[in-house]
Amino acid sequence: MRLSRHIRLILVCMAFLALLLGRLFQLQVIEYQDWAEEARRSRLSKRSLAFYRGRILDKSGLVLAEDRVAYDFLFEYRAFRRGHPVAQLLEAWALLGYAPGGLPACAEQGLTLGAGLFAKRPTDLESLDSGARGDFVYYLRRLGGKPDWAEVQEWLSKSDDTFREAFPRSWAFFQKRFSQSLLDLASLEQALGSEWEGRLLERIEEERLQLELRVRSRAVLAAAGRSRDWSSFQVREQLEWRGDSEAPKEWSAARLAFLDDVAVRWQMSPNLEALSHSLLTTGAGAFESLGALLRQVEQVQPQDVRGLRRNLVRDIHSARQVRLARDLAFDAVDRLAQLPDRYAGLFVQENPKRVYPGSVTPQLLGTVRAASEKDLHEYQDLREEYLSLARLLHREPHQQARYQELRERLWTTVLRPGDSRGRRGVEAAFEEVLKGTRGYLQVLEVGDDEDGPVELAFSPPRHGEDIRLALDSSLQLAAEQAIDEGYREVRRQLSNQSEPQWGVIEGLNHPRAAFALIDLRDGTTPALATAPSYDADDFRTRYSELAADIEGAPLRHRALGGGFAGWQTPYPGSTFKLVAAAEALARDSAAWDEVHFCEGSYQAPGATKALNCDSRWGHGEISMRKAIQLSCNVYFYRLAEDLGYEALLSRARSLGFGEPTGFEVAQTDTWLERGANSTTAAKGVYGVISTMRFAIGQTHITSSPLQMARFFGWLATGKLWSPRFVLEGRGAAPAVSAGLPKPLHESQLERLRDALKAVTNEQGGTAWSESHPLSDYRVAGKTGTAQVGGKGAHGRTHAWFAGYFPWDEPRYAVAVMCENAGLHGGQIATVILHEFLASAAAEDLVSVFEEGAFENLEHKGDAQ
Amino acid sequence: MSFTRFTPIRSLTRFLKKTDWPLIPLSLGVMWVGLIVQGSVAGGVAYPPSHLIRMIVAGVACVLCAAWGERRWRKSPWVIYGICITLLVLVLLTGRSTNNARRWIDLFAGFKLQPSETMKFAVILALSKWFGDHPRPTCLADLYRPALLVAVPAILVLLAPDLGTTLTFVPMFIGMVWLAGTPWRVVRWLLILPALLAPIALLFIQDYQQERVMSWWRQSELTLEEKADVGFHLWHSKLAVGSGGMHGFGWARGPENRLDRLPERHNDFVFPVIAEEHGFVGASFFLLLYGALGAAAIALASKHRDPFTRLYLGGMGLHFLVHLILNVGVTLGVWPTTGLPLPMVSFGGSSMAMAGVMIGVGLSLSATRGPVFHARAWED
Repeated sequence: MRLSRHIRLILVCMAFLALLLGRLFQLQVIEYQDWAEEARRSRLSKRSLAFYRGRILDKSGLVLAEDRVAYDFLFEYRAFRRGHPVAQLLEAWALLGYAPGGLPACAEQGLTLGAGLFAKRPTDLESLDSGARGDFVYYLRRLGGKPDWAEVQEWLSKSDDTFREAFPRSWAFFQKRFSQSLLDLASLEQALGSEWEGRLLERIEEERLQLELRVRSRAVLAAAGRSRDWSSFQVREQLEWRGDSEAPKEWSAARLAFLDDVAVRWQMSPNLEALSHSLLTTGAGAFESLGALLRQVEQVQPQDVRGLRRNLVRDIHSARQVRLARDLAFDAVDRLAQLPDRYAGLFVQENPKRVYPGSVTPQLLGTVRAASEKDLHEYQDLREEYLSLARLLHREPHQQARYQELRERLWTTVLRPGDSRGRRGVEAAFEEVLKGTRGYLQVLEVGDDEDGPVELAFSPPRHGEDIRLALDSSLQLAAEQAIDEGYREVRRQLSNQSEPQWGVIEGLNHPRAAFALIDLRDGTTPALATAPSYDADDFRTRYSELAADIEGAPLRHRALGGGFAGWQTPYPGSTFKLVAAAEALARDSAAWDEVHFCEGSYQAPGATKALNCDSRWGHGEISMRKAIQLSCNVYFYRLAEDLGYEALLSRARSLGFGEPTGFEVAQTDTWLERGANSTTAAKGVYGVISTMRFAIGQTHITSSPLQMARFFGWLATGKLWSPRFVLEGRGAAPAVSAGLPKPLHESQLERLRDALKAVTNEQGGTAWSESHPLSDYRVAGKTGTAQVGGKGAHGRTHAWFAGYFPWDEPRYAVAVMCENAGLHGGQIATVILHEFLASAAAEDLVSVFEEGAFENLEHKGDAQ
Repeated sequence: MSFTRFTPIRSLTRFLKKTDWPLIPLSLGVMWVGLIVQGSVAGGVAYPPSHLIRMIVAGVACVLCAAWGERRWRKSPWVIYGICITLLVLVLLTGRSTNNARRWIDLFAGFKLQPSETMKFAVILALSKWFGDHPRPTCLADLYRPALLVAVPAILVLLAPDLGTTLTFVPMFIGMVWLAGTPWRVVRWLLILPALLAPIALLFIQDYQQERVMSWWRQSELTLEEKADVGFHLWHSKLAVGSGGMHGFGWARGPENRLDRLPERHNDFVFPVIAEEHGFVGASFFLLLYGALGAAAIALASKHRDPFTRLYLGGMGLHFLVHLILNVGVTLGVWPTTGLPLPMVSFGGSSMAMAGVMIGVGLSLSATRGPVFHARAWED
């Protein structure tokens, strides 16, 4: 059958129609899921819900750190320009090509500007393209109280009246609304506090200018990219020099050539230097030059650039929320939350604030700080990868997996602008535990502004887990007070002397001391005190001041060490002599009875000079026990001469010296113990003098009080603990008692304990004192007086005492160090320990006291 | 002269009996869909006043043109053609511009005229006249003068610049050449030639149009930037269509429509609104209805023996089908993005009024038997 021409033509057309129907079927039925998801996603926005970090508790459950409810003051320009009359005025005039000079100016001349707008006729809008006209009518309609859409369209297409004539009620509405909005702003400023008085609109204006700059620079970049078929990112990469040093000449030349190319493409003759400068910096003048460039581009390709600009505005404005203030005053929160309609674009967001009640050892607890540059870079990288995957309509399975992973991470774990992260101390070390997971509220836009968005999904935030510390606040407090009390007591004693050393006394006005206490049953640290300290709240505000105080160094925790100046070098002094004694006994138990003669100084054969003993006249014939009790240097010089540096060093190393203590928080926050525990390798040491000085802890060895307390714990129990600060919490590991490579026989340890007991308990012992008898608390230990190589006050000795108690059944190891005190260990460190034990005993703080283990306490009470 | 003879009802029934009446319900149906969509675009207004006015204008134009008398139409093509060419030149010189294109001439009372729309009508009339008055073309040489008739307005429109309208002239011309009885060996060259020329033309069109073509070509892998930029129309159009699914969101409920995310949705991108809100069911119904209007016009044309009427009705049907296929194809990403209204559905007043005029002329022509024994008998 031969079909007529008409039928054949119809068939051809129907074939095309069938093609369209097929395509329609493909899009609407086959790919429906994809497109529906894509469309939904394009309308989705997620609101982040803050989580509360876990609390940090002390041993008895007292709160040391927690997140308190606080609100941020946020600002979104898109919502502001859509909803606030001042911004609507500005935007509407800007569309007409007139810049009224910023938001504050708009607020001032609002009624005049409004009258100008309401006097516009449809014919005045003909120069605008359809997009701009639509926007203009959008603002005008909102300024006029949203007269009926159809009537406005009617006015637009037919009428020759001004807007005010066409909609007389709108003008009245505008006047009322506008003055009301200014009043609202003023009362909000009042609620915000005095520093906001008259500042709010200025602050918003700054933000608006920032956004405008971004829009313009992006527009210019995109326009430039078109000349080479590049994306804006490629252009920026091309134009930005990322190296550390100055850009090489060839690179600059290539960049200028590129810009030249751009200029030719856009038929412009811009000042290339200025152009490249403006693209590279966002400093002063960049705004103007970018604007000028954009206007040039607009003149050449107005259609392209205007469309581009509109889309950029849409993108950039939507993504941008700025925090105007943190921790908003309650009045302001109340106002903003109660009257959201009147404060379009201004809103509050819950953002918990970290507080540290009591400010206990802020150095160890650490702090929380906002996302760092690195975090932000990570966030941006992940986000870019995420977006590149997101734009694929069809994803391979592995791409889909990666996409979901990234989406999850971006919304939960990754720190984003405005987020914060634990920094330093426990906050950093247990970040993963303390930190929660952000929740979110997924919102779908369904209609124009008249309808609210629909909540789609809600994922509650998961708050962080709590951590319980081994720290006992009351003991900690007792230790901190003991330092102060001890210093005061010593000052008092010294000034009562017949010839007071005023320089030393003055040096004691500002205690610089550390106190470390280790519970020998489980290796935990119930008290780690340092002086001076600071208030946790000051960390953010006074950080630079605190960091600049090298003398006091409040940011250091002296019990652990951590970044000291040279004169603060924590030489252990005579407390280290026990290492030499242990080594000697390990080598030959007969060393205990060996007697050396001390004549006040000793010059080893081959040594260039003699080294002094503490006692100028010498101790005479002296055994090891006596040498420990009296802290005779000569005895230990002789020991060192016999043992040699390497033997001493390897014994010291086996006892943990020269290494971090294993304190878990310091493993993350390496600054805590930095440089505090060091030894010098044998090949760096020459001569017998070094060896001798090493044996008395005066060179080649530094040790933090915590390290020393740990060592005395070993002397007391034969166990060397890795001290532990965190008692409970995910990831908290039990303290480790290190297996020693070079153990010492218990009988030898007993001998040393006997000597240590003699130090505090027998007259003549360096820690023996009538006024502050440590023997009352059955403390055994050793004093130390470490010389430091500084000048003046900085050259004063560190005073040490390290020991354990009670001596018959050791429960606690303790170390006290007074930096540059200029006194012997027995003059001040023991006083502090005595103060501590006295108050701990009085308040039944230390568990050994609770058991009533100290009979002589009552005797002590009688004596007083 | 009986009383009944002059009753309007009676003459109307007689007219309707004679004329190709199926065009009336079909075009009313299409316009009804247009009214529904425009109401939805206006934010859920049942009877959007401005569109109603346009429909009334179109209806009045239709009636007037139908009443004008077929003989006058037969005589006037060249006059109309001349007027339209003049208007086109005029609009290039003095027209008011929207979207940086000079396409409109201001008329009285805020009405404006888009001469490129009237030109389409004029070209159909002129081609019908030419092919009706001349022997059936048998070689390419016979076609160069009618080709000029199309080329001159096409180039003028291209200068406007209005690429979309220009492009509609090509299939309309080829279709009418075919309906004029030109042998296939000639027509096939007309098909091959544009296909060969298309890549070359790609080099000459404006940059932003090139970018649109490129973004259309790789529409499944658009970057985010392109989605917000050159591919914006296509991307949102496809989002609207695809998310409509089988049954759609319902009238005035499509998010892309309501959230003002679909640009030009009252005009060139009106079809995605239909697809989004009424789903595959509604959209394919609309496509078939509109297709039926065009197909009916062509099919009815074949029943006439008068070449002018045959060609005019065929050209008119072709006009609707070409617009439908190009406009809907653009919104579905079948063709590269270009601006082209959908007559009787889009917001554009000129295209609406001209659709009324065209149908009116078609009714008028088909109501009368033309000169049956014309110099050329029309046989396939």
